[in-house]
Amino acid sequence: MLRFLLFGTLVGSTFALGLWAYKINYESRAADQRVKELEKSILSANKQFKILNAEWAHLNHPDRLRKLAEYYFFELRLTPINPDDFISFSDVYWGQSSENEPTALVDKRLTGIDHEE
Amino acid sequence: MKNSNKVKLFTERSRTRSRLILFSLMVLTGFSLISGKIAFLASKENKKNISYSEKEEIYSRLNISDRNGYILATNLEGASAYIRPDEIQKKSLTTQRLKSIFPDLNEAVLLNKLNDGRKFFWLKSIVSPRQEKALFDLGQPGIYIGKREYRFYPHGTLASHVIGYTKVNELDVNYAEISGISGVERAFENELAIKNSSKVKDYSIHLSLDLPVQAEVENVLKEWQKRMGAKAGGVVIMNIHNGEIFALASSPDFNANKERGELGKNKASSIYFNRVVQGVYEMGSTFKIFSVAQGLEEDLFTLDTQIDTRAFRINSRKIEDKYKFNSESSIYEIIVRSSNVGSARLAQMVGEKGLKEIFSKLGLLEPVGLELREANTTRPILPKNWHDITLATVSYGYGMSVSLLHLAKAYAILGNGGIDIEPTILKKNYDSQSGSRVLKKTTSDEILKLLEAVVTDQRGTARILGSKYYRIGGKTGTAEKISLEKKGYLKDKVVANFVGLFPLQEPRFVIAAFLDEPENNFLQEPCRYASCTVVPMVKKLIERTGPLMNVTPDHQALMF
Repeated sequence: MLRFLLFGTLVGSTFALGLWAYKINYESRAADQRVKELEKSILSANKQFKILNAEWAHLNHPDRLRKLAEYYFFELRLTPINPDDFISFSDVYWGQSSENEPTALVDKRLTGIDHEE
Repeated sequence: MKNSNKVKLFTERSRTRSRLILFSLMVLTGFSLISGKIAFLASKENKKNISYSEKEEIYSRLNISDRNGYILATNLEGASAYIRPDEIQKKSLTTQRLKSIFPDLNEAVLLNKLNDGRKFFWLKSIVSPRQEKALFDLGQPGIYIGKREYRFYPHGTLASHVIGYTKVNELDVNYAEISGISGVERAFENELAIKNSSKVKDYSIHLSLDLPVQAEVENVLKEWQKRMGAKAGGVVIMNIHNGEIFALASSPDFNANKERGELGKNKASSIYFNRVVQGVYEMGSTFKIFSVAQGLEEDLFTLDTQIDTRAFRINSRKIEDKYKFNSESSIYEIIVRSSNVGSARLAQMVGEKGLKEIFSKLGLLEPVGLELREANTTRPILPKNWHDITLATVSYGYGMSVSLLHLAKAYAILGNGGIDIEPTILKKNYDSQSGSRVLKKTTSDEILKLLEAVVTDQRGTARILGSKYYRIGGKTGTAEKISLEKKGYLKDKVVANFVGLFPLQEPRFVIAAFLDEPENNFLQEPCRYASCTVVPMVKKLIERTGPLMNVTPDHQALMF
């Protein structure tokens, strides 16, 4: 009886382990396949990304932007940056209300005005 | 009886034992088979995973981008078409069909290639996606498409001389090995061509160039080159503290997407020739400041010292000025009004040794240490013998040829307080100076005063540079070109240049520009001097690029 039990358990566990190993094998193959697919999609996404990046760079070509700015001038009023666009801190119009006056100190180099004085 | 029982018991026990051993052996074999298989699977999987990442290279060559990250050069996947003539039956029909896809094909040549018995040839090394689809739709056996990478420059001609270009070393049906031929593509070949992309963190080499500044510089340069009827021109803008080059333009330029060629024999007229880095010219009066700097360095004189400015002879050769000077002029006046006689006298005071010393300190005797190979191979042309006359002419920029980049570097050292710098094309993460001191701070301060006077003084050669936005200082130079046919100089052909520093309240940038054979015909009389050709261009350059480089206008200057 004992012998039969021992025999049965051993056969059963061997069988179970075999099944388990088979399952693991099967799963790992599936995972392997998925990794392959993912790698493939990452690769193609990266390629797309590269193409889009290159296209973006091409679309941002300064000459092209300049032409677009000229073409849409009446809508956008874009002009190239000019030294006149920098104004002195004291020339900024803050409106009538004194509440609108700025409180933050601005870098002296930027404005030419020393606020410490 | 007792004995036979004993024997029976013994044999039965031994049989049981042997069965048990047999059984456990079977179980053990089973287990080891299973674990062996597991181990095998595990190891096989590992190997597979490694092979993915090694095989699937996306970035076989890094991008090149500017200091803000704008892409200047990248690799894209393209296709090339090849033919196996054996597999094509109706050869003339195929030729006609191919001609409809590629209008630039030569039918006769193609038909000849199909019939001359070769096994394989390239139809097109790169085909567009549309052409690729048309080839597929043809359904013709014997025509194949191979995927390969190619180098793409999204901005075309922009910064073409700095970026350089590549060539295809080895072309296989599914593979192309690209290597750099000139510019950054060549100088950083090892860094750009990567063997294992998984180890790379940043897929770009960041240059010090600033794309908007570079674009602005190229536009202004091309416009002025046209306006002044100049053959060629060049501009370089560099940070004087760490040597970062913000813009480097050489005109005429090329589009590396279309044209890739060698310099050839007549290299100085080639579009691939980088005139700023490779072109060496006699620079004229921009050299005058060097003997002054050496004199100040040795305390030989001050800016107020009076120098004899009467014309004189050295070995029967007359040294004279185009404009009238008093018999004695201060060094201030010699520089502001650009006197050749005064400069020759200063050179005599400084002497050959002194002049060579200052040239050596400012890097004018050696190639510039810029990373580009074009710079490393460009040696200044120095006088063979330093006779008295050579000393005099070199002091005002004749008899010695350097590149515009040399001049920019020299003026950067003069303007940054006297610290040695090396121009670089790579973005640096620090703004501070790291070189050793080569000139006294006081010399640098005095020189800056002089250079500003050239612009602000009403008699100054660069007075039209007076900007209401920025304080600028600099020196003009106009050198007649050497005649190739006969001995001597050509009166009507000059190289005009200007080197300046700005903003002067806190100098940050050096700008050097030149035009080859300019002539300003918009004035009452044609004018070829730098003061009426290059200087107006530089004014426009500074006012357009200054705001882009965060140079805030000087509000003191705005008061004017």
